[in-house]
Amino acid sequence: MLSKSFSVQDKLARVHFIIDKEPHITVDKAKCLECESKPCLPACPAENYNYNEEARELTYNHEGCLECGTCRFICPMDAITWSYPRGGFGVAYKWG
Amino acid sequence: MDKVDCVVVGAGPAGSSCAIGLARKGIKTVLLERGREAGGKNVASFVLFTDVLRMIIPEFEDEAPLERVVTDNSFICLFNKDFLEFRMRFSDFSEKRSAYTAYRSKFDKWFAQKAEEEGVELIRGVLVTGLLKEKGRVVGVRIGNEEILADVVVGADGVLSVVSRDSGLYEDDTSRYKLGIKEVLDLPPEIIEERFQLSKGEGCIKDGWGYPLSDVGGVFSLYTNTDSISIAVFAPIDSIRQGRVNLRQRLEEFKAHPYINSLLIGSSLREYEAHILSDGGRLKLKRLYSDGVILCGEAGGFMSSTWVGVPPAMLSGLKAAEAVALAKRRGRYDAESLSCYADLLRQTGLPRTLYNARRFSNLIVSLKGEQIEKLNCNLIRLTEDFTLGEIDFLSPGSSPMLSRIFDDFVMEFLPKYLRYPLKTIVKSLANLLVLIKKVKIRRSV
Repeated sequence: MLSKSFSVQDKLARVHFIIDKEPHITVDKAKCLECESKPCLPACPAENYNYNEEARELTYNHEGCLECGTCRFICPMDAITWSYPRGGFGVAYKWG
Repeated sequence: MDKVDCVVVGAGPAGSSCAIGLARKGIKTVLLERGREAGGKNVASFVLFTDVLRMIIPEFEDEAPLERVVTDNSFICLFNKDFLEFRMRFSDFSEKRSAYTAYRSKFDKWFAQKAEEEGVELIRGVLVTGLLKEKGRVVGVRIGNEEILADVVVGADGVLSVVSRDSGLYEDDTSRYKLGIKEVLDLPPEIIEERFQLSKGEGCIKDGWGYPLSDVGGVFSLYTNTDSISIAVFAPIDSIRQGRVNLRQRLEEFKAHPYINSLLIGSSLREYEAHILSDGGRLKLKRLYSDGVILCGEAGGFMSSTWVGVPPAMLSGLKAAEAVALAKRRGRYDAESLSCYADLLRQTGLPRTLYNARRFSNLIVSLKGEQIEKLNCNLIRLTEDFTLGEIDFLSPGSSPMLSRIFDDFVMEFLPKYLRYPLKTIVKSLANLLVLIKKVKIRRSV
């Protein structure tokens, strides 16, 4: 077996980010209440989208975004607005 | 900033190729990169086929950050527990140095530096947020509140191109998009060489399909770098949108497969990466330019994951530079003047190559899980056929079964070989078919 199995959080700890306080993702959370399938939850490679059942709220974290662009194309409610982070910010791959 | 002749957006292989081409023609060029370093935003299972780069920088091997020279290429059909692997080894690959593995983060940085050495002004850490337009014509780029005026803007800003979308040239290609998730895993060079049966400095690339991605037409890859292995799984965005696949989990399933696992034993995670990619280009060459703007690289669809990756992007960048130079001579940068780009591209044969890549990609995505299983089983039967007797393997027409493998498998699965001279292809086919007798195979009962 591989020496260790990693959670997504562990994996993200191996990625270098230059964090921008200004978020490059915004979500119209009201729309998420109407959304049944929520494909963003399994789709995001960084597991950045989560749904809090109790609070009935979608939560997200732009700081761990790998900038793959997936969420821009999959939201059935058009609730996600995703753009690049400002120049010089965001993910900085060393071994891409 | 004073007005410049040309702004190239994106310092990847296409953008830097274009900028170098422009600088050599005496065109004052600014090259913009949103990362702090060129290559810092890129994800690729990167095999660099060298023909186009050799045209641009003949002596690149002396200085480019390359990992391993590719001597081995495999195609793997993966079953739940088992696998079928076609492994080809070409000793002359090493001499010809046709392909190398590399990291985009290192290569792009180096390549952008080469552009700087040619007189291009490289500005890093700037995001182009939109285009400046005047009477419908593109006259420059916006960078937040700042702007740069230019005679012509080259969009080389990748699959998520801002230039393509803001210029109205974007075509909805999302059905062609795939998500790729990649891991770079540490492994000492000696272990890589022993495990993959390579000499020092040699590398192998393995591509494949089947488990655990056969239900969505996904593919995977496993490439060797000097002291690491890059693995990646890919699935169509449509299947992700429909919630049919959690690619994070599929990556774990892929790694846990007994064969893949045996290749990864003892490795540890160095970096985790993900990106969307487009597959198989555009068919409408007229949608690659407009008044004051021109697209190349993945922004223009010059990319194929199942084909040869980056060289089409670089070649399109070079041709965009030629088109801009011709337009400059005419003194106009409108769509009509830039239309020579389409002709220049046609002359390279690139549109045809990408059309084939598109067909191939469609084939993979359209095949359902059971069809892939069936095809894999046919391949297994075929290997049995080959152990039964002598077959004239150089004339595929002589056996219907061989004909099928020739059509379905070799010509389609291994299109990378179409880049080599016919003699090499025939030789490789011969090698392949001899190897089939020795193919590593464990059959599911």
